[in-house]
Amino acid sequence: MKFPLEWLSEYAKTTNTQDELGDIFTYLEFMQDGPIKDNVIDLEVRQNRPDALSVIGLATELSSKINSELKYPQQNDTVQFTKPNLLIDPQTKDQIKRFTAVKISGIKVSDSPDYIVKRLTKSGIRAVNNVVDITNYVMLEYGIPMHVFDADKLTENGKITLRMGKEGDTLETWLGEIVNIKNTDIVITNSEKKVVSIGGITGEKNSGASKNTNNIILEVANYDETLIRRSSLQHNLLTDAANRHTKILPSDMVEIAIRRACFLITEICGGEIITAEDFYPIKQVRSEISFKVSEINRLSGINIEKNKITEILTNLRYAIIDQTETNLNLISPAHRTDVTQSVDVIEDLLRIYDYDKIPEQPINLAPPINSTPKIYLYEDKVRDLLVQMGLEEHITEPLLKADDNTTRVILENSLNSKKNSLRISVQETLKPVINNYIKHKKNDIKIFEIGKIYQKIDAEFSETSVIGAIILTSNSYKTAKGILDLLFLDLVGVNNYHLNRTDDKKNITLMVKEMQVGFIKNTSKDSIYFEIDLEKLINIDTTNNQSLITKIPFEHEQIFNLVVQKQVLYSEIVKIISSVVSEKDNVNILSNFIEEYTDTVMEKLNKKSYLISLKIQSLVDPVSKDDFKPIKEKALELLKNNLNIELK
Amino acid sequence: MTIDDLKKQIDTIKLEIIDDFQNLDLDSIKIKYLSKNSTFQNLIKFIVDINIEEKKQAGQLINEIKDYLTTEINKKIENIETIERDFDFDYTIPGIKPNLGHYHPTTETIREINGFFKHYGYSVAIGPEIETDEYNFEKLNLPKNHPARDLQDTLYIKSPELLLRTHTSSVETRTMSNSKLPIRVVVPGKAYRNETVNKTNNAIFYQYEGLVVDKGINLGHLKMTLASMLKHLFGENVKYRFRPKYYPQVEPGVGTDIECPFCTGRGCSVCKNRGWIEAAGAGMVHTNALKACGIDSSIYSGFAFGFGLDRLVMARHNITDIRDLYSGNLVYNN
Repeated sequence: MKFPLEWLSEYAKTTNTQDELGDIFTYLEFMQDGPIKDNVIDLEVRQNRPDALSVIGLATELSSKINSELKYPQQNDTVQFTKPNLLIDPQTKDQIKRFTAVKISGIKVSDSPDYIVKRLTKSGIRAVNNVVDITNYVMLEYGIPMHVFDADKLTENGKITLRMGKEGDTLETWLGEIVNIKNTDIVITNSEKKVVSIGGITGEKNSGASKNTNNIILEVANYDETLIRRSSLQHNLLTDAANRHTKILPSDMVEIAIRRACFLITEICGGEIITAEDFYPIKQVRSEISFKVSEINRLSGINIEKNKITEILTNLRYAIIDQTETNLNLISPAHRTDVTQSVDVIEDLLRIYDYDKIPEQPINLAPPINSTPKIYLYEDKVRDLLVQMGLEEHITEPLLKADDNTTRVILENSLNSKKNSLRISVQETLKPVINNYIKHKKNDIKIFEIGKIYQKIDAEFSETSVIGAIILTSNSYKTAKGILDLLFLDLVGVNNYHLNRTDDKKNITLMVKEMQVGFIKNTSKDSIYFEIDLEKLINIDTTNNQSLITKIPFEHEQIFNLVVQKQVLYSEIVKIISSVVSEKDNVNILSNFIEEYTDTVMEKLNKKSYLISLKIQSLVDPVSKDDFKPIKEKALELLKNNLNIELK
Repeated sequence: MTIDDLKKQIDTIKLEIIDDFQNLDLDSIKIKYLSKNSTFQNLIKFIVDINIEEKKQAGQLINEIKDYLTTEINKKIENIETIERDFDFDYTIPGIKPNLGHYHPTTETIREINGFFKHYGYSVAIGPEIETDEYNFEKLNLPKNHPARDLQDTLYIKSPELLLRTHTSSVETRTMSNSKLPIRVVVPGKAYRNETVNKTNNAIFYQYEGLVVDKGINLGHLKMTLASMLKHLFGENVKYRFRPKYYPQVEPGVGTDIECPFCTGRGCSVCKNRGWIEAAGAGMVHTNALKACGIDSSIYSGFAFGFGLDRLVMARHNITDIRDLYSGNLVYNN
């Protein structure tokens, strides 16, 4: 928000330079939104504080910081507010916190005085005429929005009606926009039941003060902020008034604002105050806050001297009920609806006192025991393994266009129709990455992602941590399998992992101890995708069967060329060989796959040949041909009987 | 054969060994002398013909020559290993590179910062991305209808209760609600927002947050924690400042800035002429949030901090468009 510095200095005199002021406001919690231009400071107001969107609000902050006097502008203190003569629909009961209306007759509408035009223009608001300008002026001054109606256009006897919007209600704004009013909008109507204003947001084009207006009704109100927010967003009317009404306005300040406006109007536009009504059903509650002074130290690490505390609180307009060395009993300032508890007061104190006075301190407490979840460490371990194996990590957005898959989690309100649901497999979002590699003419493509997949089953939503990988090389399957063999060797041990194939031959399932932990499938003619459920994997209790070998084993090995039926799997051969037991102690029997071979002759006979080696191994005693012979014979016999395998 | 014949034979063999060791390579020597059928290995057969009284001596002689051979072979092996070969070939031709993959730059950055905080006793906390309104907003002092919620641009799965988390702070409320005190965690992770996507904004983004709750935690502790982190990330001499800043979930709130590296604090378009760039948001966990998570705010206090990770990752890796980070546009240089 833009604040002309000369306007600010009318309420808080300062000798600081512009640069200093920039720093002062930054440290008061208002950052500059650009350099000071034309003696106007532009400050970012993020807080839920309507008073910060006002010149006097900022002046209060400034004067508190530099400990100077705060001057309030002149207002009409004589006007007496009476019980309201308004027609208020009971349906609006809890939506109106305060509604004040003053009728002023015999005004003359013309251009505003120079100082008002200048200050409005520098603040970014266009000057219109003196009456309208004053409402904007006071809004900027005190942060309380207000509106002026041409009383003659309003009703015959100047009565205002407040009710909720109805089907068919419309309003044309100053900018010529037609608004279709909803039943969640609060509206002000004239005697013809025509809507002349959407409360807290904007007035009707022709109902305000114009050149020929003689009699006006000045209205300053405070509505339920959630109502105004909804109306403002629904109609996309983000007016200055709406912006302030969506923060919790202090009702007590409504009176001050209308008194100020009355003063300016009668002084600048002439006229006489005829009636002044105040409907104030929901009184502003100012917070009574008590706390120990030691709380300041507990939260900041520093102490503030008692006199300084008094000074800051007084400058900020707190009412100090009681202050001792140890305790504080306060009432929050009238203009601060954001102050409700001790931490709010402490922040105010520290802000004004200066955050820079808080020294950096090391934490001298013992750290808690490690609570990093196992799955997090497991993911990192797997990540390391895959990178070491030459795969490249990607992170892809898990959002994509919804399809008719009912297990997909759909997003209700995505702005992007191509990204309105979550992936059910990493493959869905990883696949496009391949295209990029192909464009870059990469040949050996091995990519992976460790991330989540999301599912909806009945009404339950779930997310699971998985590895997804795509392999595209000259033999994608073999490469993928090599990676998986090595991965599972490390994670679960050599004997705990095996593969199955689905009946339709479209998927290969990865099994660990009879539980499926993942799958492999083709993604295109040449590439392979595999996915592993890390949450399932981590839960399977496995001991790592790796052991360091320091001794050179005694071995005897022989290579065989086996002729095998086409549909026989290598895993079946391994199973049979591993069932052979050596009579000698401490002897392991191992097989190793060397090569697969087939030609047209064998194809016709529905056969293939596997070159494998059979090895016996001992870490204890030397093994010889004589030890090998019975094992070899037993193995070959079993292979022949069970799988019809012959030696070539 | 007599013992003298044997001696003569052995002497001849010794000379032959010396000669072969000059002229043959190690493999040929091994084949000639160590194969099962070689003469050398079959010397033992000659003992059969020798007199019983001299058999012992014959055996000794044979063992001696065998030992001699073994020693010479070992020497030769050692020699081969210590001979310095000349680099007499084009040594600049690219070698055979072993296969090494790459980590995603965000992963690398997260690991680095995790490592830094681990040093100070922080654990990592994680949580669901599909989150409830309660943990994502309510318990963070962001009740329904709070205007700050509008800024969040939430992606809803089932409004208003189920959504994709808009920040990793939801993990903090979970931790505060469900873990034993004290708490000292960092929370790296994905967050989502419903925004039109451009060079600097993306539907998903990564955050890095931290939370400490204990007895006697104050702003001084927060300042030193942040200062240490900034020094680690941007160098020992980094200029930084702490100023009051409003966030609904903390009170007092702190904005942390570092001097703008583009203009060294003089003011430029990147830093909106402020001379400073925002590095992290932080503050003391709001009393309302502590209470909502079941923590007695009169005994315990805590601080929290957070920052967007993507900008840091992009700056370190010279990426100018955030969409490249998570859209698969990254291709690694080998």
